[in-house]
Amino acid sequence: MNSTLITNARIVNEGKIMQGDVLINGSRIEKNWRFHFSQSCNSN
Amino acid sequence: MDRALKKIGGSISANHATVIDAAGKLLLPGAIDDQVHFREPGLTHKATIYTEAKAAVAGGVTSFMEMPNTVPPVFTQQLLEDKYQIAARTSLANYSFFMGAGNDNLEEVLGTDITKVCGLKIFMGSSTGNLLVDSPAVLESLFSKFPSLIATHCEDEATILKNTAAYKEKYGEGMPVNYHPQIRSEEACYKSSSFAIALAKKHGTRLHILHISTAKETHQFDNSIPLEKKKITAEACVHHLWFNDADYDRLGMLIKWNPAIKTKADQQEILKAVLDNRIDIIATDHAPHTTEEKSKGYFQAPSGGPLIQHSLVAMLDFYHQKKITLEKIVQKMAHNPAILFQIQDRGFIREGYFADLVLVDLFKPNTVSKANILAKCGWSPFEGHTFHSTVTHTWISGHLAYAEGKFNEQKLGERLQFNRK
Repeated sequence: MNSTLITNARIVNEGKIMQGDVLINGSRIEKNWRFHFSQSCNSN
Repeated sequence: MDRALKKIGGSISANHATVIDAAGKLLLPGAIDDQVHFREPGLTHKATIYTEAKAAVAGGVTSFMEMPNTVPPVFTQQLLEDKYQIAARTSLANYSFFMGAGNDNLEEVLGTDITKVCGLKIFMGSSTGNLLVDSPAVLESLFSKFPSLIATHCEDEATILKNTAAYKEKYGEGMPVNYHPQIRSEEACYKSSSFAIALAKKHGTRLHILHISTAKETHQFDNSIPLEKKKITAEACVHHLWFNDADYDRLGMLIKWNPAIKTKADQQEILKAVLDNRIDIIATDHAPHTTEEKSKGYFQAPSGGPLIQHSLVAMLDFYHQKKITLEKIVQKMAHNPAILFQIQDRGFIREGYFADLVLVDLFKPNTVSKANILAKCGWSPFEGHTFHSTVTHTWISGHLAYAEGKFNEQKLGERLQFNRK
């Protein structure tokens, strides 16, 4: 199964912006490692 | 527990993985556009699912939901499945197709599998195609019996016809497009959307009103409850956020849309309603026509235009202008469409979810020109505009479908599934 590792991205997700890596395994997200919560917003 | 939090705590190493260094870039969940017109079957001189899905992917849109006003209109389950088959063969992006409501296809409508189809579309106002449903009895029946989401185009037909006759008599065939928002007026929009809301409240219908174009309509929507609990939701479109009636002089028929682009006050209130959660999602109503068709006079030129390649970067321009946050853009273009339509395992960056992802260079400008427009019609109302940001990579279900201007079409998009009982 093909894997892709996206490193050092600024991930914008679920009301937060974080630096982190995402590992894709096949069609799905296998791991989502993140650090440094920089800001947030209220979610709907 | 939030699935995305489970594995925090260590760096990722994957010995056999392809590594992409995204330093300096944004990684977003792919945008989900709940209102597009890809014109296939029947109108393929304007667009095809193949061409427009590629434009979507290049713009960071990983899933789309397409409307039933194709030719023939999607009034039967067989015609609906035919569109899914076309998409299965040709669409680089993930897809779903709305079932169409007519004045006499209730039995077919009720045969819709709501776990595999995004919803039912009702044109409570005429536009491209002839899918107008204006019989009160039929609307009562649809609103009371359809068990899932009904999406509506709300403009009151009688008001539009009355205004059209009056303006035609006053200005003749050569009437400029500037009067489009007076014909497709605030009154027409409000009368229809308030009627739809009243019907939905009467029957407990799950109602989603598309392309809100007036400030007055925004006050009908509730922001006091979470999206998951709303029975009545609303969508704003990029063109109603970007343009206002001062732009008709410059762009003419290119920004003739239904509902019409209206005043600056409307434009500003729609954005305010997006920000305060009266309006739940942002989409495009991507609706291409050929240059030749759009070059006709007001009464002949069709309404609509291509937007999907530029919807995300347009919203990112609003971020650069400090009008909206990055988190809010992601919420309105990825998270909320997934929540609102109950899409299975998409719309968020979560472990176990499909890898529908977009990399954006926030500070790499790109200028829209005919040379880089991917929609089949070959034009854009944004031509000549330089967006501040560029989509550089797009993954569809883990497949790197687009990278730095090049497509990989070895794997196609998937049919959206819905978590509905």
